[in-house]
Amino acid sequence: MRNTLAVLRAARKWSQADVANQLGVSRQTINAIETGRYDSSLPLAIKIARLFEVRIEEIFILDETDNAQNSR
Amino acid sequence: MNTSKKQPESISEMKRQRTANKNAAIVMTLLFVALLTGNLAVSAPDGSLDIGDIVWGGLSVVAFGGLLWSLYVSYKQSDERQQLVQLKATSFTFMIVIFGVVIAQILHALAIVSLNITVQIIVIGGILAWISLMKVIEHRSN
Repeated sequence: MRNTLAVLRAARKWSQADVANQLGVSRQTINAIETGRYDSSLPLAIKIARLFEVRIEEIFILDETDNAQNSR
Repeated sequence: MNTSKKQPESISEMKRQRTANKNAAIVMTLLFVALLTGNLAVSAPDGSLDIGDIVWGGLSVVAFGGLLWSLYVSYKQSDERQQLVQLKATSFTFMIVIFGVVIAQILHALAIVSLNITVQIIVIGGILAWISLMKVIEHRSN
């Protein structure tokens, strides 16, 4: 799973700490999501989408490799 | 994405760290007092319990109860990724401790080691393993 969180955040000139404060999580968690080391839960994904006022699909993109892994 | 370690921490994380530091200070004080009391308490030659033993036992239970409480508070205040890290570290530590206890029981049955001392080593080792595993998992997820 990849995501456009870093792009959306940069467009608004927010720091990772700014986003973390608004979502009530740690800055490391935002960093982990941006770098693809952690896939957020659905509630957190919805919060992120609401924060940036976009649809979840515009932030989180399922890779073909994810599809292949899930179909096994 | 370039992520400098100098970046400011989020408010929720600072609050969690403050609470964790405060709880750690309280627990460390309790453990230190329990340790001191244990050193001062002299067991009676006939093996009967005196007031020093009871105070030492009570303080140890309170200190380790405080440790569990502070870990629980830290878990509740963590965000979902931090909780996942803590749960992973806990599950690995559980496996290590269970394995250690089984080995200790076998060695005790063979009269090679004292179970009492070995269990103490396993408890301390388990806590150190838990902290180390958490650091490693946290580092790998950042």
